Amino acid sequence: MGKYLLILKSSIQRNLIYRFNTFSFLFIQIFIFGVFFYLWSSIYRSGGQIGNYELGELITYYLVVNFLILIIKSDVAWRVGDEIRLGTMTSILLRPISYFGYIFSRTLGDIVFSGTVYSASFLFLFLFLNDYLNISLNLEQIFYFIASVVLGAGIYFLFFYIIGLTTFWLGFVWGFNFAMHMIVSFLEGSIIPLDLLPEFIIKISGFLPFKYIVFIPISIFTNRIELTPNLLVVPFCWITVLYIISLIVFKKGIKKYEGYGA
Amino acid sequence: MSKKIIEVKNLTKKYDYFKKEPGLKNSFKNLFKRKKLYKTAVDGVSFTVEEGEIVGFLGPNGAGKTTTLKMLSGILTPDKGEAKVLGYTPWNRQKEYQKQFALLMGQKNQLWWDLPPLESFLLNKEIYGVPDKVYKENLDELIEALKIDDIIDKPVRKLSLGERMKSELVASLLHSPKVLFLDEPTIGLDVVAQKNIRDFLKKYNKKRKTTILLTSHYMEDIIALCERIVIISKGKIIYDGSIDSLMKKYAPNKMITVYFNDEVKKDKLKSFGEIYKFEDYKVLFKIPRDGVRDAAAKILASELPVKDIDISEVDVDSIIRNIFTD
Repeated sequence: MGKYLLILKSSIQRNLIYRFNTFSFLFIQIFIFGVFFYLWSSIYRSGGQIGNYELGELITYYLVVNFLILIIKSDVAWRVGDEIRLGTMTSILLRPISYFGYIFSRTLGDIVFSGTVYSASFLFLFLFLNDYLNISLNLEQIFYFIASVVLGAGIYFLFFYIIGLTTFWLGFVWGFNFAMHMIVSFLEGSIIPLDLLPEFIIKISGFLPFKYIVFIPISIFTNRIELTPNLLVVPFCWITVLYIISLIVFKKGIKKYEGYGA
Repeated sequence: MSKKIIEVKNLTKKYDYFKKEPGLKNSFKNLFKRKKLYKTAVDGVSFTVEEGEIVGFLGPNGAGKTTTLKMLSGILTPDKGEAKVLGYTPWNRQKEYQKQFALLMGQKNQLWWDLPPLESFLLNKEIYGVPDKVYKENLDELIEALKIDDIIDKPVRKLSLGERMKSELVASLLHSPKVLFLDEPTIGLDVVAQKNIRDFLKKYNKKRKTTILLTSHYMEDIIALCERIVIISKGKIIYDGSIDSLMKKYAPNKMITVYFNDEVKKDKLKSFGEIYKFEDYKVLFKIPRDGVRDAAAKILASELPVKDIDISEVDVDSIIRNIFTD
């Protein structure tokens, strides 16, 4: 266990070295939010209305989307893909350590770091914008929200870990990776709230794990969904399924690994 | 009686790849129809290595040296054949085996790029489960021997190639591996750094009885470190034995060059030995190794107008070049 903890710590250290990188992400995400904020404000002011969302609710929705994107979304697919493509996975495969454990600890280190930095920043934003947002949270909601964010992060991580592993067969997955990111962004509700989409897309997303990454946590946060244990049990089952798939994919893929570059 | 540490029998590895014809037009064609081809990188290789030996793997690029090392360290699974290192089959990747060997690749970075080497050392300590006391002893010893105490707290990306290689060596040796695979450990280094690493490896092997398998393009590395060499070409072993017997086998002769003050007739020289090359004031004799002493004495004692005499070895480099070009 000690080795994984140390990787996690090293990963945090690495983030501290590249602070500027962190603040660039924070800046751009707040900037994007600002654009949405003014866009929706002026639409609503001129009498528009999107579905059954009040202006405050919609702004809260996008604020939490931006927060979740910053924290949950990692470059895991890209990192795993590059380690296979460039042969750097070799140094992990050689040593008495599990590859999954290594990549998980590294990513968790990133999440712990960005979670701390961004939570503080967003808490400030929430307080600042409180007049617009009228958020009221009770303890049960907070518990459900945090638990569902953790589970959503697990789904995101495992899914894109598997996408990264497809490099074993495909050789190069940046394009595929990008396409999957866009599709997942759409199906998780990062671009448009899921309940504003056509009926058939909502149906499709019901069979997929992605809405648990963004849409469900936000619906809990904005109090638009009834809190039932299923909100946590279903994503947990998805995590189990994805984890088993990742084990199988790794076991098959590793036979294809050639450790290029030397 | 020495212990057999590495036993390799009939190891074979094929790589598949797609044929790619040149040009944009063919690239489009290949999008729809690709031809799968195979290249046999290692073809029925067998050898054994005993405890404490340093064995040098020689061969041109693409001969299969690195592929062999990758199979022995468990990164690649062979298509055919067996291998046992310390009694383990490497590609099962058992933790017990992984704790007892190290693979160092001159062209690959195994240290954490953004952090100082010391962080990577600590990480390896945890990964390999090295006890505090052993870690401290090993680290002190290695830092002292490689003289890197002033760089271990600089980020790896800021180190020179030589400094990084030394740090890589330390990282690989912290868990006191019984077997060490080195894939071109001195590639790209300057002459001094090369020699440092060579000297270090030699001492380390003597002290710890670590079994070392090494590939290198630099003959100096091989000559300085290895008593035994394995020459591999197109995936097959074409020589396995000592450097001495390689010389005897492929270079049974030495060259005696004699310079004269006056012109000398060629037929006057014939009695001294086989003439390899003849010029007006100079002659090259090709003399079997054990006859060199006598031949030289005879030439000096003769009435020939000898100005100077020079006995030289055919160098290993050119012998190996000859083997590869054959």
